[in-house]
Parts: sequence; structure tokens; C-alpha cells
Amino acid sequence: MQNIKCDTQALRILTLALVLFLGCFKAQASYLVLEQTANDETQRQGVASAEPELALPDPLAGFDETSAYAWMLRLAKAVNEQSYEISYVVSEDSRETLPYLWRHAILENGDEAEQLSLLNGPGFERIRVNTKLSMFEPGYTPYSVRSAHIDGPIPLAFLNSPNILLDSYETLLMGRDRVSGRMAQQIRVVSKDKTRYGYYLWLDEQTGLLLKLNMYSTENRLLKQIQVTELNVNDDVKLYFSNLQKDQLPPISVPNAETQTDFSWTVSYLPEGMVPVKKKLHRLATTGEPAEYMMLSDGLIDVSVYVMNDNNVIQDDLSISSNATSFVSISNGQVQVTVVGDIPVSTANKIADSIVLIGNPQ
Amino acid sequence: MTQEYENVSAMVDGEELHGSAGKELAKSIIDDPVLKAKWRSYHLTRDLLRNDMSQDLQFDISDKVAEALKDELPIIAPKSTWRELPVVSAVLPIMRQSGQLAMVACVTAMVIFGYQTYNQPEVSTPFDTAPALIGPQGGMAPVSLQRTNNVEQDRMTQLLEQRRRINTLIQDHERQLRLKNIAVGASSQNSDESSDSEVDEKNSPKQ
Repeated sequence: MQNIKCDTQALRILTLALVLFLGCFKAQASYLVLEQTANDETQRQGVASAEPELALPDPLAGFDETSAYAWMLRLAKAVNEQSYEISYVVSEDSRETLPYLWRHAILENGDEAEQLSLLNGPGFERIRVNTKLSMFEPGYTPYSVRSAHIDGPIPLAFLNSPNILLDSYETLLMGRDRVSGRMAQQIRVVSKDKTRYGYYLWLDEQTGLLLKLNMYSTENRLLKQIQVTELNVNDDVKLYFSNLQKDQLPPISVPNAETQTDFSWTVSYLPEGMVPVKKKLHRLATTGEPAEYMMLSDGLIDVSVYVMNDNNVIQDDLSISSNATSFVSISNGQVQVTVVGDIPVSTANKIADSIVLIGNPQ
Repeated sequence: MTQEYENVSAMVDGEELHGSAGKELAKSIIDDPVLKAKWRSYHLTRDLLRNDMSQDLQFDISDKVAEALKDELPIIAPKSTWRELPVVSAVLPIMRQSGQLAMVACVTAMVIFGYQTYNQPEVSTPFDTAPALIGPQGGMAPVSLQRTNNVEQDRMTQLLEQRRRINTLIQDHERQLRLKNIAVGASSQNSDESSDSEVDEKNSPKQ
């Protein structure tokens, strides 16, 4: 696809050069009538040969270029339907810049294959074929799970389901810009009630894919930056997956079904568009401490709320943040409430403060 | 006029003028100030010549001196200063040149002095718990040291515990995020999922 486009573009440029050249020629030598007509002939032929390309059905028919949301939908479509190879780096304040490689292809048999690799250090490798996601991480035996997407540094909501952002975020078209040597449309994604971080996205005008993503704090401080360094949209990407032995991938391990439980407390303040998506009793991953766990989500950002017995480990109320992640812990001497997530500390504090009892504790 | 001067001279010499001429001359000498002055000066001259100057004769020349002084231009002489003293004037240029050198030297000295002062290793007075003369030496020290150490260690372990707790919670949060996407995939597309997986599992053994 890309190659064909390149060829036609080259042809266009050639034609244009010819036209210009002929223009000069005409002005200079009006007496060469014979040659002139002959040249006109070739010129007409050149134009004619360029026309069929223009006559191709426009893949962007019905696409509203002035709507930021249309661009977001186009991104989601492009990400899931095109074959591409993208290299990008992720930089965060006071952290190492990390390079990633991301491939996606539609295979011959219609299977969808995706790969995400962290290229520095021991790194990791994630390979997905349809809904089977296999994880290869140093220090762990490889395993597979069921997932429709690979969760990488780019928020999945942007890549797959921009519609779930509509409740909590506004998308604004900021205009054209040049990113990674290509023309891009800049889009701003900002939470309606200004309680969450804001984003700027740059989408490639030609392919609709993501070229750059910036995440800003509510004070407009740059928190995180994702910059595409190489973008290659090409059907040949599928060749990378040709060696992939599907039955060699580790078997799928299904995590135990989680039972939702109701708690005697609830969160009375929620940022606009954020809803509780999970409520369960569970044990902390490393220490095994029991906790009542609630996950809040607006589709883009997930926040964890832990309520557990105060064992006096964290003596003072804490509210800290490193880069984007905030950690707020408050206690009344018996019960400790902790809020963790990629939200401003002020919002995390509000959520933690808003927890109220709705019944008798069990 | 010269005639009259002669007559006055003659009268001073004592020669008698006859007739009314003598009376008239005497009258004009009294009246005419010029003749009067002449009369005076002739008498003075005669007295000088005869060397019998009267002692009470007064020359008052102070007026004239004062008047003369008044007309005279003032003569301004520059005040002589200590700089013009021979030794000083010889030394001064050398001083001027060396003054700049002295400034530089002063600054350098200040810098060096300042550096030495501020970079002096802190005088660490040994940690003396009790006067050495009273009681057994250092008898109190180990106990008190031990005590503060304990407090510090407690605080340290407290902080470590706290950090561990924070890390635990953040790790758990990250794990939940990862699980969430898997869970969503499993729950929302449950029907699709199961059929898909069945197909997948059927396919793979065949291959």
C-alpha cells in the first residue's frame, strides 16, 4: 500500500517537473511548434496517467476532518486494522527513557497478531494472537492470558475505545503540527471537571496512527511523553509473525473468577465520569494482608482504593506523588484508607476523604 | 610763578621785599596753598642744610603707604604642601604604582584567608558524656548511646516498614490494573471469547 502510494507520488512529482519544464520551454521557443505539440502530447499523457490514482475510492469518505472525536475513532480503526511497525520512546520526569517496538499485522489466515517489546535491559516481550496474550518476562515462566489487547505505555482507551472517554473527557482539535517528520493533527484530551491529567495527542494525517502523546499535570507540567521515532505502515510486517508457532505459546492460565462483594462503606465523591468497576475482598499481592478493594475507572485512568485495618505501620497521614502516580493514605486509628492511581494528589485526597459508612461493618 | 617762587625763597632767606610787594607776597603765601607748600618745603630744605632739623617734625607716610598698597596687585603664592617635600615627592609615584599591587595583594590575601577560614575542618570536640573525674570513666556513655541508637533504629525500621507498605500497595495497584484488562476481556466478550477459545483449541491439535 505504502509502496504504491510512494510510486504514484513520485510519478506526480515527475509530471509536475515536466509541466514546469515545458512552461519554460514554451516561453523561450515559440517557433518549435512541432516539438511543442509533441511535448503537449506527452504532458497530456502524464496527466492522464495520474488521474486513475485520484479516481480511487477515498478511504476517508465521510470523515469529518474538523472533529477531534472523528480523529480518535480513526486512530482506533487504524490501530486495529492496519499492519504497521512502530518504534517509540517513553520519557518521564527523572526516569530513564525507554524504547519500545510495536508491531501489528493481519495475517494471511485472518488472524490478528500483535507484538510489544521493551528494548532496553532485560526488557519484556508480549505477543498476542487474536485474544491469546502471551507474556515473556525475565524472572517469570512465560504464561498466557485471555486479552483482546496488549496493555503498553499508550493508554488502551486511546487506542481501542475512544467512546468510553466521552463521559469524562472532552476532545478538542488544536490544529496541524509536524511530528516525526510527518504532518499531524494535534488533539487535546482534557477531563471535564479538571480533576485529572490532560493529554495532547498528535495523529498522523496520512495513516491516522499515533505519533506523539504528552501527559500534563493540572498545572501544565509535562509528566510523561511518548514519541514515535519510526512509523512503517506496510503489509510486509506480517512476515515477522510467519515464524510464530501458535501452539508453542504457553498455555492460557485463567485467573480465578473474582467475586464482587458489597462493603459497608462507599466513596461519596467521584470525579466526573468515574465509576466503581470492581469491589472485592482480596489479599495484597506480596504480604497477603487482607483488604477491601475497590477500583474506580473512567475508562482511561484506574484508581485503587484500599480499606484495611490500621496496623499502625503508616503513622501519619500521607499524600505523596511521584511523576503521575499519587499515593494518599489516611487513618482514623482503626481503619486505614489508601488511594493509589495516576491522578493529581488533590483528587486522590478528595476521594480518600469522601469515604463514608453506609451500614454496620461486618 | 617761578618769580613768585624766587620771592618766596628770598623771603625765607630773610631778604626784605620793599613796599607793598612784601605785604602782597605774604598775603599770597597765606592764601595760595602751592606757595604755602613751597614756603614749607624751602624752610625744611634750609633747616636740613643748616643741620638743625627740629625734633618734633613728623613725616606721616602711613597714608601714602596704605594708598600704594591698595593699588598694588595681590601676589598669590601657592601654599606649599607636604607633597612637595622633596622626599615625599620622590616616593609618591612609586607609592602610586605599588598601591595597585597592594590592592591586588589585599584581595588575594582575603581570598586565601577566607578560604582557610571557611574550609577549616570542623573542630569536632569529642563527645563527652560526663566529666572524666567523676565516677568511672565513660560509665554513663554506653547506656545513653545505646538508648538513642535504639530510638533511631526504631524510627528507621518504622520508616522501612512504611516504605514497604507503600510499595506493597502500589505494586498491588499495578497488578490490579494488569488483571483488569484481562478480566474485562474475559467478562465483556464472554460468549465470543469462549467460542473463540474453543475454535482455537480445536485448531491447534490439528495443526
